[in-house]
Amino acid sequence: MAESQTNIQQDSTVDNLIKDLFRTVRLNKGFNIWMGFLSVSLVICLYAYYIQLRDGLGVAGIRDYVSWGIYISNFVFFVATSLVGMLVSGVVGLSGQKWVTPLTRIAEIIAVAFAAVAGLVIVSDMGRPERLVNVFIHGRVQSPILWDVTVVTTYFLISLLLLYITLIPDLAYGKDHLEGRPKLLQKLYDILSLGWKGRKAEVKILKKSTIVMLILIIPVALSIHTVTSWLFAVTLRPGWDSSIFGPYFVSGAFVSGLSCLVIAMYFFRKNYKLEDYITDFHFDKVAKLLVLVSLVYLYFNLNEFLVPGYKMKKFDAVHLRELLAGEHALLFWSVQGLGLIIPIILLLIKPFRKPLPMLIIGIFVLAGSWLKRYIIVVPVQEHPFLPIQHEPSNFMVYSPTLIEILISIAPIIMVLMIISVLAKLFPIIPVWETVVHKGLIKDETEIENNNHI
Amino acid sequence: MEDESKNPKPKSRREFVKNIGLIGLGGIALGSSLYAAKHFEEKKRGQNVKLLTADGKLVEVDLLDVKQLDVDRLTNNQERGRKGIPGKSWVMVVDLSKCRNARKCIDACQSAHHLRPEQYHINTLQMKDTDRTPAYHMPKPCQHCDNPPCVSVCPVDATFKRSDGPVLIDNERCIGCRFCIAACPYSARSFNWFEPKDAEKDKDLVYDVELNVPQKKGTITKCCFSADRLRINQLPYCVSACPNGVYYFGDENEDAITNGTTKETVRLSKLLSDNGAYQLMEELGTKPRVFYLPPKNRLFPFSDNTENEKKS
Amino acid sequence: MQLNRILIASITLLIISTSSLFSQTTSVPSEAKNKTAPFLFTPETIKTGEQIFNANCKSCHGDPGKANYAKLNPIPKDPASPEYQKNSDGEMFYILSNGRGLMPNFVNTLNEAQRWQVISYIRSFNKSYKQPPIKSTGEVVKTETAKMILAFDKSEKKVFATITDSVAGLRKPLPDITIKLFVKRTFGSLLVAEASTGKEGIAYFNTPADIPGDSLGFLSLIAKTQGNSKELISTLNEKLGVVTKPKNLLDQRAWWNVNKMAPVWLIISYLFGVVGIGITVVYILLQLRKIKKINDSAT
Repeated sequence: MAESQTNIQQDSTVDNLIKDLFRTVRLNKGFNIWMGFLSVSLVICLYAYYIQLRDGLGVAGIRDYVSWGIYISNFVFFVATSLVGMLVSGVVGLSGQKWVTPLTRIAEIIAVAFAAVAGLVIVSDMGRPERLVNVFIHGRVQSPILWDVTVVTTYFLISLLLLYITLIPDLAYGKDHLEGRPKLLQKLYDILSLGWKGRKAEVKILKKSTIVMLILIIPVALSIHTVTSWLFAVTLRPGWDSSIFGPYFVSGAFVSGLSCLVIAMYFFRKNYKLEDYITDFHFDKVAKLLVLVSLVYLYFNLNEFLVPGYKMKKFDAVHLRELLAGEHALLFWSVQGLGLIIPIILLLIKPFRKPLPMLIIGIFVLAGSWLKRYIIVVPVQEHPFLPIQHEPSNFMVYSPTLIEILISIAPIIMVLMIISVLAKLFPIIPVWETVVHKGLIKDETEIENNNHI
Repeated sequence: MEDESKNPKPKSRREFVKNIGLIGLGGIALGSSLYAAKHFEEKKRGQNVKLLTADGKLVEVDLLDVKQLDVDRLTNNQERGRKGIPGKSWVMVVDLSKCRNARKCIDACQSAHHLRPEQYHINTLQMKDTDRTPAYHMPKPCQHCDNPPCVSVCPVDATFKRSDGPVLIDNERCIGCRFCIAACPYSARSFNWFEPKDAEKDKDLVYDVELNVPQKKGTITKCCFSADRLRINQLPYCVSACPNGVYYFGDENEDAITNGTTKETVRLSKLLSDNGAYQLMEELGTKPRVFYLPPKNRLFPFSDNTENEKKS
Repeated sequence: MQLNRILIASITLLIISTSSLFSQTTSVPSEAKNKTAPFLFTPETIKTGEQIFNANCKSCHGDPGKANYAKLNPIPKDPASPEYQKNSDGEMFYILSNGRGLMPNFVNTLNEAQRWQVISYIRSFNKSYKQPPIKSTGEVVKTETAKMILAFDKSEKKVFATITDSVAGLRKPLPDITIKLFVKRTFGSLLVAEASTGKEGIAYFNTPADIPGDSLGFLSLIAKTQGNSKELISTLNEKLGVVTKPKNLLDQRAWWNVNKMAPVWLIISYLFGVVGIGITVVYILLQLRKIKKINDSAT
């Protein structure tokens, strides 16, 4: 290749930096064992799904009254977590926060993985998965499910496209820094990089496209979770029949997404030796962001429970008593306490904003986020308007079966696989953007803009 | 995972492919299980079946020949099922003062629709509205709302509202998402969690939307207002099975309603106004088609007679 | 003594009736008590009666004598019990026709002959029963030659029925016969008026004006006389009803209606969103192609 054509200054610092960041793009034994383990687990879980297909959805604990169980909680959780891509790259990125650069790709990969798998999760909850095509043939525009299918698919595609666009310059770098990697991978890099040379015109197009995508992803991401919340809010059931479900879910999504990001940051930093790029400073920043979104979420929680709790309308009262002081009280208060209130308090204290404490807090918040979805989905259905009578006892209360749990673990494994593979195939820290932000190469478009001024 | 930067051993393409293969395994497993699911539905080929012709002869034909005919009949049934009976507007009146939980309606319904004992299109509930008001038995079919929340949320038009009132379900189209169960405030819908009770017996039946038989695994089943009986000017299964005169059924446009037990026909408007009729949770805006006459002047005390229930 | 006994008996009866809130809520008129079957009970009538019983009565009363009645409150009586067999044929007929307490009436579901057949079946469980002699009373129209004509009097704006009998080749009006006028409805006949024939054998009906007819206002009327052996029936189709134009529920745009009938704004917003996102994505893809083009042309 004619390197003289590139605008990239190939001095030693830049070269070392690129080399350092491409370090992680290499298949090794650890990765193979990890993927092998995931694959075996996935096969076991898929066998559970095979049993469900063979015998019917009844192998799960869901029945006529609680007919949405952990599959749907899982779905809501997946959609929620995928919102982190939009939060980090879109909202924080667009607001000109340069510190977020090394985290954007992790966030985007999380978004792609969770959005892709969310679609599969919903299929596992269908009685007739082979009729999925009916949604496209006979789709009713009045049904929130159609909106959900539309926006989740769209969000997945946009996230994938955004991930790809920001990868293009890195892929071009990769061509020169992947000696000894499989030829297939090099070929993949070659094709996907579109022959990127970093010319002024290219950079300009890329920047414009990225901004367009970042702007587009914000309303789409907001709508995926708003629409997901409407799956509940459009019903008449006390506990779901709420007008704040949209923002309530979206703010909750930021909490679960950021906690997932924290965990991913910790693992990538540790395993890929990225301490130079993902620093304590980044953890501190993310912690503060997490506190902010958690406070917003707490605020919505207050609205969601205090307002109906004040009035105690007939059916609301039954639901709230069960949740706040009845059968689900322990779970409810654990989730609110350990998954939201205590993390907020701890993260306000500086020593807890270090990587390891944040990992632990992140795990608690993420687990709390999952359980919160369970609390939103399941207890409401145990108290319909009319009494549940003349039914077998397993119709009255819901308890997930082993098969159901295995089927619910499958998507989590898939997410881990997707994240692992993407993080292996491509540099996990955006190389080009890091180079530009460190001022190692001149951003000529900026100079040009300045000249215009 | 260990960091790999310390031993930059080149990897061959084969190993890379192997890894990709491993990942692909998951996908294949998923695909094959999906295929397996579909396979379960397919009938065996080369089989002969006995058929009764219109002139009463028993003939034996290859199943494959029947299949095309069945497809046509199914399409026909699906189209007819979506067309309401012109000019009709069906309503039901339930006289709570007469119900003493004989549960004959439930038996008739479950046997007509080939349901399991825990699957109810109609159920009788023991109601006690407040601590201070007496208990009563309340038969609860689908309310066939004119603003049906279940139909609103259906993503595939599987459940639908018909011009003559009933809310029906086409279980050849239902994808089993159960959004309608979540949306229905009357808990009127049931799901086929497993292979239906009569799956083996009904396997050669052509699906009829108006009867919702045969039941299909992984789909919703619900009260049809006995649309198949209405088609032939007969009262619904539950209505005609009641020994206590609880049910009235008729056409709102005719302002007449017929008691299923006594076959007495009275004016709907008069029956409703004389008895202070009400609708179940009409404050939800669902506009039900089922009216209830309050349990006043009962000729018997309330009793918790669970002996009439089938144990499942 | 005798008086005391009656008093005690009636008090007991009163207690029973109030405690079960069931038994004697309707008392049988003495006229009805003495009514007898119009035919002799035979093994054939018993057999038909059994079929009718099994179809209509068994679900509550069970099999006579086997005490396998439905567990209802109050308990349905066993028709084979001595206590029940104490009733006269006429009393049984009355109860069967009009219902009692929670037992529904069968006046519309079983004709008179069928009701008597059921009684013949019930009586077959009573070895000591002897059928009383058949009285030849109670029939309204006795002859086979009687005729009823239902018509509409345009000047009076009234429906009327004429009942005549032919006596020696001449039609002679039959007075004092009660006629019920029904309107045909989907599942049965709705009683709208009742009248008796006058000296000229004509009965005028006061039909209510607010009965819904068909799309042109036509009503299908049926007049019936009451009787054991001969029931006169006459029908008439006349424009006496309210014109009914059924509303088509599915004409409105609604959340619950089919895709085509969704609210317009919803369809527009959905398409707008999808197309908007589509265009943006296509725009981005075109930009990417532009990058590729720049590089392809450079090499």
